[in-house]
Amino acid sequence: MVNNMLPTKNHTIWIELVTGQCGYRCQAVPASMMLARVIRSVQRDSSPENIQRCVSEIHDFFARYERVLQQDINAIFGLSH
Amino acid sequence: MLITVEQATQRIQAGEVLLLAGDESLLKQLPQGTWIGGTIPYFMSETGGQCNTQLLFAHPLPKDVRVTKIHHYTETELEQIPEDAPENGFSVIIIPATSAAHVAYAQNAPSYPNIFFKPIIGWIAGVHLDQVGEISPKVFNGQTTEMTEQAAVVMHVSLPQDQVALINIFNLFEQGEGDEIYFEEEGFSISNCLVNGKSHNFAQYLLEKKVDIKYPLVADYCGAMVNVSFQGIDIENRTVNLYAPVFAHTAYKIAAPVEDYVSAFQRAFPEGVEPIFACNCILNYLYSELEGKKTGAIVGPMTFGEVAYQLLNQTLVYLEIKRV
Repeated sequence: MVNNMLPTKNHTIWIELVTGQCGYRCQAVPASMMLARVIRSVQRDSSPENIQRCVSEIHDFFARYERVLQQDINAIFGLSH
Repeated sequence: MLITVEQATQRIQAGEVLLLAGDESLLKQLPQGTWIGGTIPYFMSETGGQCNTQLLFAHPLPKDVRVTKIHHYTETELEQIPEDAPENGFSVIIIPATSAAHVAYAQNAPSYPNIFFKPIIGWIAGVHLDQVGEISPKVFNGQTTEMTEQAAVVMHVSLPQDQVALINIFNLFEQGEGDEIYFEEEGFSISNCLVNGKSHNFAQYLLEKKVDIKYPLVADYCGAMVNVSFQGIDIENRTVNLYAPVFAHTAYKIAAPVEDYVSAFQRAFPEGVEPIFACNCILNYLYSELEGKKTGAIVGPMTFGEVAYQLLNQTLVYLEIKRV
């Protein structure tokens, strides 16, 4: 899938997301649960390796569902600007 | 829709794909075919909420879906479900209440690899409330008609590329204004909690605060309100028993009261939703006295727990298929 809309994995917005710093609340249920999962994971283990693993996981999730998560993607992407 | 055993048999023999719910004695009569089922006698039907041991509830799936696999998963196999699911489609899971699979899925599903990458929806099978502890809930694999009380049954369904499955939840409960509660121990049975950073016995806390345990604990999962319902307070053992596990690093609050479920449902449920599958919680049926009352186009079994990726309580879950 081509990710024209998504920021790349090295964009700081992904770290803000998985560390819970931006406090974003998703519209779509799977996105909410996925985000909660990675935030909990980082709360348990805040090592750079785990943060990177969580960034990779949630980026892949949004890339997979880019077609149906436009509302959340637009909102999250908007938060970084 | 509620149908007779004979009608279900005709549909199965005609090649329809069915998700079924009903009394064990009815499900046992069905022929082999592309269906899965679970036991429960409570339904929200087109004519209103009812307890019925004479009819089956059927959700027929659209004709253009393709069932790729129906399988019983034991508690150690559950984490394979996302791997077995088709790349584009959805999976429907039914788990017998109180089984090892129920406990394992409740506690571990949020951590399964790729669990949120492929839609999975379903419910916890139960029995008539007068028979809890006497009869065990069961699930059925229609391809073999095999019945089990220990493992989950899952139907994996593939969709055409121009369609996508969307799972949604409709939860009338929101976090109330009270204390923020954290738990350091995870599970269905809890002794201690942290309130404003201070340790309390959870049972004592609920009693002192005179909490109405008809209302669940609610956690905000980054926008999705996830309920954990109370089974009861064990005063002697100073523990609180729950219908789903609580998790560490998660802030819970007691739900704000919902006075009239049906009115609130009719006000809040989004218009134009056409689910191909839905189920709601037996506790909503009981506490909100839904017998004889209608919840619009949303029909399906009233269950001992709901699955939208992970186990939920006191929540309506539904599946839509959208063209993309």
